[in-house]
Amino acid sequence: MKSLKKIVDPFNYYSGERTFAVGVVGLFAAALVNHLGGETTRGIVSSGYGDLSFIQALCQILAAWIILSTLLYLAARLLSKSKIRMIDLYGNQLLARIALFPVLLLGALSPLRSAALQLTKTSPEELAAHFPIGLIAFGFTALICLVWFFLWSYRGYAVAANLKGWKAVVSYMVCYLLAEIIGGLCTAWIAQW
Amino acid sequence: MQRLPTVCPACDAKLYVQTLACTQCSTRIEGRFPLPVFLLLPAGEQQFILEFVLCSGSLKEMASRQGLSYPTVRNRLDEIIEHLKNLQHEKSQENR
Repeated sequence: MKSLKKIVDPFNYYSGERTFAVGVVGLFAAALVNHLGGETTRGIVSSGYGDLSFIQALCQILAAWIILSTLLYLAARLLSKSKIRMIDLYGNQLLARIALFPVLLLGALSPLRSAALQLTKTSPEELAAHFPIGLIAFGFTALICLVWFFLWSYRGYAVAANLKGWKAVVSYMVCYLLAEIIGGLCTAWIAQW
Repeated sequence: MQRLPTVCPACDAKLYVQTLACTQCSTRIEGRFPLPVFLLLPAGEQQFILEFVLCSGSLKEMASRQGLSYPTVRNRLDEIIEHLKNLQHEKSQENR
C-alpha cells in the first residue's frame, strides 16, 4: 500500500536535492530524445515535430519547467503561511515532468512520427477508412501521461507550498494558464534560433 | 497505556484535573487544575512534538527518521503550531 502511495504521491516521501537530481537526469534525457527524435516542446506540456539542436531542445524544456515553477513559487509565497524552500517546489515540478517522458519516447519512434505527420494531410474520409489504431493507442497513452503529469505537478506544488483546498486548486490553475501563454511564446522563440 | 481524556464524553466540555495524589505518601491535593495546552493536543501531535525535541529541532532529521519528505514534516509542524495557537487563544478567552 505504501509503495502505491509513493507512486501516486511521491512528494510526501521525497523532496529536496534527491528529487531535483532525478529531475535533472530526466530533463537531459527528454532533451536528448527531443533532439534525436525531431520533437519540439510547445508551451508547458505540448509537443510537436521539428528539427532542433540539443541546446534548443534543452532550453525549451528548461523554459517550460522554470516558467511554471516560478509562477507557482510566487503564488506560494503570496498565499502560504509556511516557509517555502525553492528547491522543494522547483525540484517537485522537475520530477513531475518525468511523467511526460513516455510520450516523448513513443512520439520519437519513426513509424509513429510518420503517421502523425501524415495525419495532417489525411481527409476525414480516408481516416475513417484506414482506422489508425496505432495513433489512437498513442493518444490514450498521451492522455494517461498528461493526467499523471498534472497529478504530480499539482501535488508537488500543494506539498511544497503547504496549500490545501480551493486556494491550492485555483492558484495552480491560474499559474498553469499563465505559464502556458508565456511558455508558448518562449518555446516558439527558442525554436527560431 | 491509558490515554488521558481531555474532553467530557457526556457533554464535550473541557476536563480539568481535580485531584493529584502522591505515590509515596498517599497525600492527596484537591483543587481545580486546568490541563496544560500540550496535553490538549491529540496523541499523534504530542508524539510529534516529543520526537521533534528529541531530534534537537531538526526537521531534516525528523524527515529522515520517519521516512517522509522535509515539506511533509514541516507542514505537519505548521499545523500543530496553528492548533496550539488556537488552544492558547481559547485558554486566554476562558481566563478572562
